Amino acid sequence: MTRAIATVIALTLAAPAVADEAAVRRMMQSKLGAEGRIESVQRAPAGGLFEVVVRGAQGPRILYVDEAAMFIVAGEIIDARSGQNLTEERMRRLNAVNWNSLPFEWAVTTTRGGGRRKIAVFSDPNCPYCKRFEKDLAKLDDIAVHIFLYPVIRPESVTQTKSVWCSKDRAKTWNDLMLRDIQPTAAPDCDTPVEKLVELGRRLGANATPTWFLENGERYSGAMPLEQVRALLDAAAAKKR
Amino acid sequence: MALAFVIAAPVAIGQGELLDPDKAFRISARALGGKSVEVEFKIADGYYLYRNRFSFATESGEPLAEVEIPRGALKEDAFFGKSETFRHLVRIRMMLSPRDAARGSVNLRVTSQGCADIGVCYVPLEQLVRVRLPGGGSQ
Repeated sequence: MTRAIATVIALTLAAPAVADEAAVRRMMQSKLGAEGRIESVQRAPAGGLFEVVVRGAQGPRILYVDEAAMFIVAGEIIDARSGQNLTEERMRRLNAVNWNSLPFEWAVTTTRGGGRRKIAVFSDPNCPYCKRFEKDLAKLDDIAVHIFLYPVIRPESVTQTKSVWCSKDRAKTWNDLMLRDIQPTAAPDCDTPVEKLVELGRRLGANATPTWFLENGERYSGAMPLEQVRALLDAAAAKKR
Repeated sequence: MALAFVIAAPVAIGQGELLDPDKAFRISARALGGKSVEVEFKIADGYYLYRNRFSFATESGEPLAEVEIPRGALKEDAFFGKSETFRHLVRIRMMLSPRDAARGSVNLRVTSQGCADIGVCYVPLEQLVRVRLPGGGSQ
């Protein structure tokens, strides 16, 4: 421990001047070249490091650097007292979307009760975990479930999702498919937002399904156990009020 | 740039750490003699690949033959139906065309697809892997 501190002090002294965010940004940008755009530089929560957020083709990435930008830490900071993963929490904020900017006019929406709790799910009909997740969501009351058709898992998903969109009752057809394995029958030849949704999902970096968002903009992946989802939904709904 | 790797792999988010697919399904390939190559996937704990979702092609456009995928473990449940999957490790052998075999190396374009036990399925993953061939070099 003493030795680690000594090393950090030595580095600090070796740096020509006490660096600030702007200096760290310049030094990091010169190292990154054209590979990524630096989105922000700020003091990291620990260790006298700077947090550098780099936005690449696949979304944001957090790096920590010392103030001379001589050492890069590509890892996670965990608060040893509480066990909180500070990097993961920060990532969740960086990955958050503006809920109101989501294109709900392209969603297949099922509302139960007053729809107080809200969730938006990028879902594929051939993703088994999506089915499990939506079966769980179907057990919740007072919720609005917005499904963004995201046919990326199998080629045949494209036809299925288009057929759902071209059905008279989209929500019923989608829920029949996901919850009861009843295939959609409408001809998939109407005007659909499916391609635009795939583009949107890719832009949001959703390389797995289900990927879902809460009303506070937070983003999650996977068919999380229902009790955890319920807690997150309640927290996001409460925060708004 | 030397730092390309640090931005190529975004930190995953969600409950439990979701690996970037390239890290969940680590590919490598080697030559087995002059004409035969073996592609290997090291699959992270808690992740699996579907047997029927592999496809292989050469970057040269030359055909591959006798693609031998071993039998996987049978997974059967209400959501997944019946499917064969691989965990931890899978090795797949195939034969190169004589024209490819005569080269010093060959680039394989490998598509695979898998899921993670924490409850997500990945979009199909395409990886490019280079195999050095012992008998080549004539081109």
